[in-house]
Amino acid sequence: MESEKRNKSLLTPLLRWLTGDANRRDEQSLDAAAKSDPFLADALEGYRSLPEADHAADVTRLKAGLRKQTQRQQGAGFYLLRAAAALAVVVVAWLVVQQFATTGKSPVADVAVAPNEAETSAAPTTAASADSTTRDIAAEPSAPEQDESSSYAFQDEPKLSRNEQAAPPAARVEAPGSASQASPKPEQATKVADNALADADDALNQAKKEEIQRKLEADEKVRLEAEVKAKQDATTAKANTEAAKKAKDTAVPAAPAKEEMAKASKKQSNMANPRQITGQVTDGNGSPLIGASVMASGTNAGTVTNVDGTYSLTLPAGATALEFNFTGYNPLRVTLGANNKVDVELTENEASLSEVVVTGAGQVADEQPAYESLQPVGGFKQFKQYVANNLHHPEADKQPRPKQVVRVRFTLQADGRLTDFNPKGDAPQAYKDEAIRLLREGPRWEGTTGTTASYRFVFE
Amino acid sequence: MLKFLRRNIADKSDEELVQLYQKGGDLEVLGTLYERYVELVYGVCLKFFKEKTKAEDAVMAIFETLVEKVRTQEIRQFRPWLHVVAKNHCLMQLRKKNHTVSFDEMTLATQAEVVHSAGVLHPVDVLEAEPQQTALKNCIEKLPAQQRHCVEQFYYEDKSYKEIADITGDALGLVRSNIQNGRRNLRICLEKSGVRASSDW
Repeated sequence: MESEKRNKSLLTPLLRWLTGDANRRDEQSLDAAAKSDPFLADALEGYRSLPEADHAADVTRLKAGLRKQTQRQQGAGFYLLRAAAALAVVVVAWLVVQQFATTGKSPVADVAVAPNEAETSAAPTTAASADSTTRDIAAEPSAPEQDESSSYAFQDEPKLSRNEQAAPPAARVEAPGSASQASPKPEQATKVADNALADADDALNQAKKEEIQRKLEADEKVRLEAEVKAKQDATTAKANTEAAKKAKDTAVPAAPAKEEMAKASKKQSNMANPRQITGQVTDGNGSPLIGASVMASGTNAGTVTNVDGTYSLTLPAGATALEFNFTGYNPLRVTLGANNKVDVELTENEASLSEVVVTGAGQVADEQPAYESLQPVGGFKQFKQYVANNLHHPEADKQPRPKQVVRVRFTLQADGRLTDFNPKGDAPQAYKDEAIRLLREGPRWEGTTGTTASYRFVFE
Repeated sequence: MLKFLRRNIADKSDEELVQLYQKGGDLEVLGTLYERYVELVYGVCLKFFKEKTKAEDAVMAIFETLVEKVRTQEIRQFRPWLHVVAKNHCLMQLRKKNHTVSFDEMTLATQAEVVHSAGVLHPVDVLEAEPQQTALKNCIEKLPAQQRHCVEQFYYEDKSYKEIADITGDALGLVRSNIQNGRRNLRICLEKSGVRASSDW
């Protein structure tokens, strides 16, 4: 309880920090708290290692993904699965009834037949088999560690108990009984179906266990031990699949059905239909961007480009677009068509380019982009071009031409023009005048009125 | 019914939720509990992987291990326990060497860049004496313009990251990066000029 109180009080500044609402005080209280809280200290270190990422959005996305996973069974898909299963069971019930009518065996003996029947007929309906498989796994004492399908299976546990309540032993006896009368009444059909569903599951479990047991007993002792261990510790679901594969060899009708079910459940957890997208990420000049992130929109699937700018991403189901991100470049979202090769070109994030370096006569060179708070209308690239085209080197006739650096501070007016020019640097006045002239006669600027910024001109 | 249940869950303490989950195995309970720590766990994963995608995957993978672990292990205090689980998971993943060579190189490169995150550094606040303030002023003057601007706004005008981003029109991340780097540069500069106010930085 104490730890939770602690958590609440710590998360608020952390959340504020992530969303950018934090100021100096928040930052300090976070750092102070982190001194006595290794968890928070680690987390902060992690976030600070990628200062430019949009952490708040990532956390929101993660939380949404988490909710989707824990509440999956409440979705429409779950009910669809159940409806499909119910439909399959009605068919099974009908088959059972027919079998009773033709063979006339004692009802007790037939119950054992029913589950096998159920399996074979349920198998073609993937939805139905997937449903019963997950429930089947949930019935095991405990789920294997770090296994995807089994972790989902846990969600079904409460549902299973509800199901059991819906089919008390008395009702179960009734199911074969009414079936043996071989005259299924419409209003009873659903009830029979429900009971049969519970019965089928129950007996299916039983039959499967017996199947495995029998096969394993026939096998070496090692296998038996492994099986017992699997039941007790529930080590891995792989053991189950293995057993299912073995059972298949015995040519019992249940086996293929079971394998199919295993496949179906795997499918369900993977949300399959894998599609591989490959391509290359380049900058405006066609050079590869290394380490650019490639994400399938709306999912957690993603990768980074390698040394030659290429990537390969297995697309999860439901993903319809890719998002490309690289620090200093504008993010790009590409809606996927039929093509599995997606090459993109990212454009430089112009807002981060502010330094204007002019070399020679009208030559513009890139330098380490610096930050500024304003930007010229049309962006910095255009502005550089403007400077390159209009710059007059004050001492153009000297050989070699002297290199001079002028930094000009200025303030943005409401009309987009600049004012209050304040040149700095050791350059002669002629250079300063030229720099100011370029700013004054140049394009208008955008930003918050009254903001002061400075720009550097390099004359070479 | 479901909404009622959820509200009920939200009010419970971590340890109560652990017990509730151990009894019922309800994933929603576990999800609610884990959600309280997603920020922290994600941060820890970022620390180890230095990359968004891998860290996000790890956050989800850790949740999947919790499905079993929380049921079977005795947990007195969930928070510190989760920290250890998260750290171990990341270390195990890194040991598996899933990373490509090129990515490893990148990771190393990034690590060199982020030395500043190792300690807590707020030179602007720690320094009060006059000569130190002068040294600080000199160092701030020496900062690259963008860093200086952000540091001044953050420390002297008490602006939040977001407010600074609004003023400058820059992305939030760039502001954060500028302040962090500015802080690191300040510390280095101050150390060079012989000022050491506290062992904290």
